[in-house]
Amino acid sequence: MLVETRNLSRSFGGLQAVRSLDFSMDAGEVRSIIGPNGAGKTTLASLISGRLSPDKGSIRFSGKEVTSLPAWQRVRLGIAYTFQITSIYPALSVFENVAIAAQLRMQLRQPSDAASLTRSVDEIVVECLGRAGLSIDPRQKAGETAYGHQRLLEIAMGLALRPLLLILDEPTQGLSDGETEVFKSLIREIRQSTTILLIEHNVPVVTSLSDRITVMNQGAILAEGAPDEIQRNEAVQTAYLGRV
Amino acid sequence: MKAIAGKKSLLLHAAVIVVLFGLQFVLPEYHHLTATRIMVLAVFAMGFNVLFGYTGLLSLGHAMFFATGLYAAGLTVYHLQWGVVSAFVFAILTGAIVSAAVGAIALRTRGVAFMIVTLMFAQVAYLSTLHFTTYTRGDEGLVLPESARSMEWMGLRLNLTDPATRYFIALALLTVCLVITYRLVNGPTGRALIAIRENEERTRMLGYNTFAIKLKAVTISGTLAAAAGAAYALLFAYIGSSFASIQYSIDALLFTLVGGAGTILGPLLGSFMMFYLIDIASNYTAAWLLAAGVVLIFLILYFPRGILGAVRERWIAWLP
Amino acid sequence: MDFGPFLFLASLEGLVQSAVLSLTALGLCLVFGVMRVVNVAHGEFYMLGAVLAWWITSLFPVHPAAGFLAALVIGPALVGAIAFCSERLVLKKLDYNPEATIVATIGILYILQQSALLLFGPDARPVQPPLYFRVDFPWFGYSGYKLLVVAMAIVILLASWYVLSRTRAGLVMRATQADGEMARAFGIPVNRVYGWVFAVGAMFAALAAVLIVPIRQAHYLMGLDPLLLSFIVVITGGLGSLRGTIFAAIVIGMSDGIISMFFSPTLAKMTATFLVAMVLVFKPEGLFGIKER
Repeated sequence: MLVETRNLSRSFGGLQAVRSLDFSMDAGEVRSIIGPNGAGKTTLASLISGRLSPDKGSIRFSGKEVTSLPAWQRVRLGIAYTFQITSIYPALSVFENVAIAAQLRMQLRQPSDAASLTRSVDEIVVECLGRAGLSIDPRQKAGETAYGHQRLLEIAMGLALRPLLLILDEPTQGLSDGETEVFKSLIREIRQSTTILLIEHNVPVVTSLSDRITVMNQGAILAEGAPDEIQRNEAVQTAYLGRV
Repeated sequence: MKAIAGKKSLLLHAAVIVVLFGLQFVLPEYHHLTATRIMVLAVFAMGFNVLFGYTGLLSLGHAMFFATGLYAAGLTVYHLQWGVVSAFVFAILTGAIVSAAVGAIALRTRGVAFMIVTLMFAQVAYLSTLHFTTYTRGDEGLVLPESARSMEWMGLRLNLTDPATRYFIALALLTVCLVITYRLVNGPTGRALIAIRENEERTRMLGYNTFAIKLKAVTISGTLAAAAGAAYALLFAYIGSSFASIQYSIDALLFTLVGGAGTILGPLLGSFMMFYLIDIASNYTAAWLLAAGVVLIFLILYFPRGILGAVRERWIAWLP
Repeated sequence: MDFGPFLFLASLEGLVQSAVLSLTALGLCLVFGVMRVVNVAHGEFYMLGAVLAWWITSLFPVHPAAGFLAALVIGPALVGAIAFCSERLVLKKLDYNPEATIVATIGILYILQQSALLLFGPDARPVQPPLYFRVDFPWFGYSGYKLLVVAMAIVILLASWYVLSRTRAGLVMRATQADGEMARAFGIPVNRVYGWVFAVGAMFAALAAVLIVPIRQAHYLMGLDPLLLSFIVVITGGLGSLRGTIFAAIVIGMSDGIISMFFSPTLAKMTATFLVAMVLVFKPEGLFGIKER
């Protein structure tokens, strides 16, 4: 089990965004969380990544208790998070954006990460830009690149951390159909080395990429299973899919 | 490409030091002394710039760190008859401790609250120089005794009343400070500082302990300011409350903004320009601070990147 | 003097301090609350009010009261106009970016302070109180004008409370404070409101200064103390909460008055500043902050 939450709750004011949630996923999976707006998807992702702390309950990651760890320490354990609203360094070059992430990985110098012991920050940046399929001039200011490129840049920054778990929050939002196809093949490539948690609205993308899907509604899990099981599930159809 | 840019900027910085070294032989007496003062103040501004220009944290209380160094060096010399070298080292250590402590508290706030908190801490420091007037003689200040006007250093006897010696010491301090900032900014810490300046939340989510890094920035920045303060006290043999006043905090900001926040040489350039501007203005009017006000507004409205910031943007991208 | 009467005298002094401080801090609080601008030049508007009061009264040599009344009207109006101009010419162009506006108001601070030095000179200028009378307590006599200052401050505070809560101008201001975007959607010219709020904020400081100047003297460097005290008040009062600010002004004014009578004023200021910095660090919503919204 890579991620395991027990009895996880978090509320904002009077609103219970996540209520007594038991969620778990295995290493190597591509898991998606879907659900209507306000179902608590982003809150759950934020709780796992440590951007938010829970009111109740516990989170374990890769066998370790991480509930009370600050976000930056969880990143060092291998949880990378990309924001729903693109969050890059707009005033810095594309290269620098990835270099900031790559530098952290070099500083950790984990024995399991042989590459970080033998290679330079620059080499890792070039490799990650390549893997993310970013073929633009790396000296360009990140804020001046196209929106689709900025989303890919975020993923490249995530890859540079060489995470065990990559959490992608609404990655296809605002992408064109062509860009979404590029994104799908990118995910298929990344999953060779990393477990992926997708928060996603786009049902066709989710069904074609995921091993398993978790459906959330009103802060709780409504259903969980393989894509075809979920599509057949009546509760899900009434609550979320309606009759799309 | 990167290596060439690195070499070019290294050469530029070396050239600046060489020019400053050469300057002392051609400058007339008055400007010679002024240049000495400016170099010490530039160290103060460069320390300020580590925090403001590179980390994006605007402290309105940097006079507190300058005064920490000033008083730590001056008071130990005056009251305890310490030697110049040990007083200087003591002042730097005190500066490091004070800035780390202030940083640990003030960094719990962000944005505007950080500015106000640093302003208030500095005001407390200023008021305490007035309150403990038995030791500091408040506004009137203290003139350091004759015994502190020379130092013994590695078998070398340096006379601190000699202008050439003072110029040389100020230049040496500036050079050391330049090397420290240059290495800091171009190393991994510099990259992390800039990352925090540009997007702190993102940096945290890339696994950086942003609080610890900001604390490091405050400490380095405060220690450099304290070193400048200590040098000022020891070179010019006077300490007084006015050095702790809000005026000096604003000066650091002004020098940095003029020259270009977030450039290594900016504060040095800004110190030279503003010092002379104010010097000239004060020949004409008692209201010479008017110039400071006008320049501040002009800069923030039309020229927020300062001189070297604009140069970097338009012409020489490799300028660090 | 015995301890009891001495404490009473100290409280009276504290009351005068509270009255002036409430007005000054209210101006700062209004500007911060509505515009989210920390106005470092606020103390200079106070100083301008005092210096202009001296200048205006010196133009009306007939009777101190006539000159004072003229100063009470013209002084704040002029200060308001200056503030309005500086808001339009500088702050507006910075788009109210918090850090840039702080730097800009530092610039305004220097410009106002140094202009006052150029135009009116470096001397401290006394202003005649509009009327002389003594209130005799059993233990000491007390300046009647000082009590009048307290009374006038209360009248002004009540009047501004009425304007803020009962009139359209007040409604517009409160709407802008609560949510600038929403106010804009309802057709409130938020941008112009900002100009007026900045002017009104400065006028409060100027009013306070005109009231106090017959007791203290007008001097071009007098702005720093009220600025820092106002900061202290606005922060303890919970940044932007008007009620909290008034309450904090009374508490801090009283304790400042009383502590300064018994201990060194520098020590009093030192402790107050330090404690308030700590409030800002550990309890940013203020001590008396009524949680709004």
